[in-house]
Amino acid sequence: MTIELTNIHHRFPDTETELEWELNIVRFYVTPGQILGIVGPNGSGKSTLLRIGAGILSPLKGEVRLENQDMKKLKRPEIAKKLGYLPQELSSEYDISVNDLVQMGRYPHTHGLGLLSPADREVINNSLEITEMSPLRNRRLSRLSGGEKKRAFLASVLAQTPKVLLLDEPTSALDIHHQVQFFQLLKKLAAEGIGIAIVTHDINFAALFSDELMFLEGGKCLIQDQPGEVLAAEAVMAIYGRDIIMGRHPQIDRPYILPRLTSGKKA
Amino acid sequence: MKKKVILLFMLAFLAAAVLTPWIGSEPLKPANIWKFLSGQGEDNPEGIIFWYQRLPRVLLALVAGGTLALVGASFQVLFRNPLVEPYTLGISGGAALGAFLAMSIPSLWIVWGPFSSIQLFAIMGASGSLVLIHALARQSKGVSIYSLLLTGVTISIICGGAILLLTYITNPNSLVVFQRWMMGGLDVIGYRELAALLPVLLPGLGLLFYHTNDLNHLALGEEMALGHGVPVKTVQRNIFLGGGLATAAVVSLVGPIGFVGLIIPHAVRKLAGFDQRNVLPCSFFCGGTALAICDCLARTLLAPTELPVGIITAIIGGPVFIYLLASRRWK
Repeated sequence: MTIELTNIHHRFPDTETELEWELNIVRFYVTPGQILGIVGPNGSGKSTLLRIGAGILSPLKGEVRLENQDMKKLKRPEIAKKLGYLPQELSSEYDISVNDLVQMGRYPHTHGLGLLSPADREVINNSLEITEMSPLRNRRLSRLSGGEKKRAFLASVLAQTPKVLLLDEPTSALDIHHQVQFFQLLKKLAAEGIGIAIVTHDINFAALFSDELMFLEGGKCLIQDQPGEVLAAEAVMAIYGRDIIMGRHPQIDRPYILPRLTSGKKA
Repeated sequence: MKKKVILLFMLAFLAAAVLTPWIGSEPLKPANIWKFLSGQGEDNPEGIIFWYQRLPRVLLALVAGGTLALVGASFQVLFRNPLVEPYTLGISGGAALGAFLAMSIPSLWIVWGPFSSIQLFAIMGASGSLVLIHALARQSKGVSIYSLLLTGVTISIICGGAILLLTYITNPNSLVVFQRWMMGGLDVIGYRELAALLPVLLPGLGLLFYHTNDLNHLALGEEMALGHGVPVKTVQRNIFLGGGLATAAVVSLVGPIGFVGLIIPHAVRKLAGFDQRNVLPCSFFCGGTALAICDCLARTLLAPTELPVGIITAIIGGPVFIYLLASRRWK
């Protein structure tokens, strides 16, 4: 496993309701060369789980191991060489160029002023190539569309040459064309042996492109299995109140779900 | 890195260092200065003015202006706030309170090495504020950058309140001296005082320059910086302490000279871009140059009367800042 979390417990006190929300995950792992889609309703703990996995947040209990090493014992640059994390909020205080942003991904491999070697430049070029951002490398972030911006930040993470990617809702606010483009890019990266975990609200896209789905609810993992098994699971059906229709993609054998219209009238 | 831009600012800095000592109410002839420097005519008044008054003063202007601009540039990225300057965190408030105490309480009038009581208590006040802010902003999971900013602003307000109280009860003669100190000035300085500044100033500047590349990542937000492998909490603490120490050292000697730390970084970003590896050295060179030029104006505009340099920086800095705001070239 590239990354493995076991017996994770974490709590956030809710001062308004005086209830404590708790994340309780027995096991979370990312397999090399595979895409794990993490889905579930709002507040189910998807982002918290990813932030713990990335070492951004320390869990109250549990162990996080990165390539069989305890993450607590690793320094940040060592973690960044192996693990790439793309947070939900992507912004820059200053309007830098795509090239500048991607260069910053070489941070864990450089020292001091972050001066780049020819080998570093080659990695940067590869990252720009694979994300198809090479033609836009001199463009400022403010001049990019939403999809291009996400790809630019992903290129920056790829420049770290990580073996595992943890992506927090990278396709939110993207249109269907850009979502497909982004997931196809992830497929390409997985084919190169990178293990990927992606948090998304779009369960159909997750089912279409992931090798496995993990369904979270109330801080707990309801099921982790093949997409077809997860979507058909009783527990997941219970969450959506049986008001869904399940079908299969006409081109590949993958399931999808649609809402059932309760009025009985045709739309 | 934009080496040409850094070189340009460095040349301006060196030009200011070479040219500004010649400008003042008393005209100086190069031949006389050369004679003085080569050991002939040690009583030559022009040589004495040049060597013992103008040169240390210009050196202080270059160092103080450079430091304030450098700290301003670093703090604006650290707090992701374009309006932050070296004085936002209450360090100058602590320095002002210390200086005022030294001016108004005769039993505190002491001299320690090259330090006068005002400098000594100003640096103690500034350092005390720095430690207090850091201690109060500390939470269970380290120091949050926002609590640091809020605590700093609060300490600044408390120091302001204490100064108002002292202003109300103190001897009016002290008020004149204090008011003059608050305007900022570079006039009472020799090489000894300048050298005494360095043990506090250099570690501060060193910490800031050490983290120039890390600052670039902080501009992307804490989570993205952590993802890139930056030890964010360590970097934030070091920049706060480095900037605080450097500010404390400068303010204790020249008083709170305004606008340099706020405006220069914004002006520099227009030419040097957003890479902090360019912005920080350029801010240092540009800040030093700007303050040296402002000091020239301060000692020549109403010659033979000298104006406090803080008045000049405020008069010039205000309109320049409005121009920069209007041009909306930065976020």
